[in-house]
Amino acid sequence: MTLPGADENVLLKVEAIKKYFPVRGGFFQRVRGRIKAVDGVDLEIQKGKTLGLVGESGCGKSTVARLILKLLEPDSGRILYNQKEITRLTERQMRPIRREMQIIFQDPMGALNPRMTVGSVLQEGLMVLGLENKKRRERVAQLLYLVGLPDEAARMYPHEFSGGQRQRIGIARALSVEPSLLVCDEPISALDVSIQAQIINLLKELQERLSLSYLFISHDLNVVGYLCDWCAVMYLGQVMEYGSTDMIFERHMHPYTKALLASVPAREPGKGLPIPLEGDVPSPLNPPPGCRFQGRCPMVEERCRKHEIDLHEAGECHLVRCWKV
Amino acid sequence: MKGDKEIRHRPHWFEQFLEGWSVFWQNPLGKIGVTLLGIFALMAFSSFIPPLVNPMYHPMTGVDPEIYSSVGPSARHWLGTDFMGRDIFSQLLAGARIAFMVGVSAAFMSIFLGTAFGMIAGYMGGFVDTLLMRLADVIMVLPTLLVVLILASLFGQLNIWTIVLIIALFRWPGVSRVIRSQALTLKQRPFIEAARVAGASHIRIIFRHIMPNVLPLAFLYMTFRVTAAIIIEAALAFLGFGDPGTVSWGMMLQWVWKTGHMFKALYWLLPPGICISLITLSFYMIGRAMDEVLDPRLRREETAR
Repeated sequence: MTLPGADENVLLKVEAIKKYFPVRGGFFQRVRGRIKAVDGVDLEIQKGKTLGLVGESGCGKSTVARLILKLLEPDSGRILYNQKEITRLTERQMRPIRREMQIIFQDPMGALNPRMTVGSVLQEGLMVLGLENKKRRERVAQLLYLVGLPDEAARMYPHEFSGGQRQRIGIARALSVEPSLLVCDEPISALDVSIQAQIINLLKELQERLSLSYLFISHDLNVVGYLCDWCAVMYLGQVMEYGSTDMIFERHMHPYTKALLASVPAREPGKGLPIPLEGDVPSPLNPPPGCRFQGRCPMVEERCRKHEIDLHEAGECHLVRCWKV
Repeated sequence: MKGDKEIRHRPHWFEQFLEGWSVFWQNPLGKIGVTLLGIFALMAFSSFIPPLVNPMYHPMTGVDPEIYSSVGPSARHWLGTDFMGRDIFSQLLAGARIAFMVGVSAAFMSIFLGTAFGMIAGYMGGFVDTLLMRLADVIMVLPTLLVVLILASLFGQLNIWTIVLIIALFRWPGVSRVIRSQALTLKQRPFIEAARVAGASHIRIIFRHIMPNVLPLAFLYMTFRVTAAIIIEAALAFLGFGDPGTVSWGMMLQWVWKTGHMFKALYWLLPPGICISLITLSFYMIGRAMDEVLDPRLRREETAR
């Protein structure tokens, strides 16, 4: 799949990756079923741009992030980084490429080893790169300045910081090895609203300064609209709608995207009442036949229940997975 | 918290130690355990003194030239003598030294093995995990005492260090199970993923990220293992399979029983028996109090603050 007009400057390309987690049970631990966490996802991230990945909890957003970072092995599909395939690389072969892609986590406390000082947390990646002690220290000071923390922070432990400060440390660690791509796995959803804005602005500022690319995973649509150039809406392990952020926000076509956007609280009370979706997300262990969204779709038809449909072009820079488009 | 500023500039481990110690000391179990252990440590250290005072107080070879049978307590022999005129009090002091040696070294070795195997099994998972844990299961179901007895009867008298080694080799599986479960939960924490993304090798992750986080638990289990090691050694010695070249409390009990003084010489029977009970009790109480330090959920309201 290619998005029209998005073929040049592609930093990361994900083609039809799938990840099924086996569910074992019974006396002999036989595979009883498979959780289809990611079921054929295509994505593209351009140099210096941000791709937003939105969707409800459990739709496979974080699994996509871990597949891209090769923390999980995909079952099928391809991942290309700078036109180089990295899908089947071993841990050892992967090591030189590791520094190019870093991650920021949702839970800033769990992301930092409680028994290491901030200084040694930040030095970890540099030690792996083989930098000498003096250079590492200089870099740590530089990094702390970059994310707006005082120099003394290097000697302190994670529990001495607030949530927002910890997230800054997490960002500094990710930046320590000078990556080109930063995967942000819901970096702000565990923070206070007042802190969220600070972190968002920091991310935006860093992107401009260091020409970073982001994969920004979130379920906060306002933030995605503010931060992202491209946007992919996921539902039950599949991308439902994919396009430039303007397209997704202004001219969305998929009923699921409509429902998601409608559920964002309106600025003016009384206007744009949300259309609540019926029912819950079906289990990825046993997704419905046909379109994944058919059970909850307000515009469902007979063909939706029977036949699956691929992402198809619906306009310039715009892909949709729906029979009605 | 009061005095926030000054505490903040202390090193982290020291601050944590002080905090842990205050919780530990507020627990009566911890207080009693540490006091008891202090007394035994004092006994072990002073075990060198009696032979210096007079060679007849040597616990193994020193014989009172005027006494040929077991005699009750006197000013010359505070706890009396055994069947050939050796001083029971100095034997008791020497026994404390042996108990510490056996307990701590066996416990240390088994903790070392258990932590290493547990961390590797938990972190690597899959085939390695299955292999190590099945091995642990096999060893865990073997009755330690019986195996040591069989080995002793096959190879004759066992050296005290051989006994220590055997105890260690048979007592790591329990520890490794606990450490493995801890490693399994740590493995899922984002900071391990972050280390992997930074390109850290498995060995680096195990030593720099997993180990510092499981060590407190390992030390907790060490106190329980000390107890077990001391009891096994005492049982072996009492049954007559101990190291005949050392004076342990189990050995003393064996001599009481073998020479037919079991209920005739309580001054000889009771001290080693009580000592074995109290030293194991003190390690156990220390372990329980440490448990409370490491697991805040066990703390009561007033200690939690």
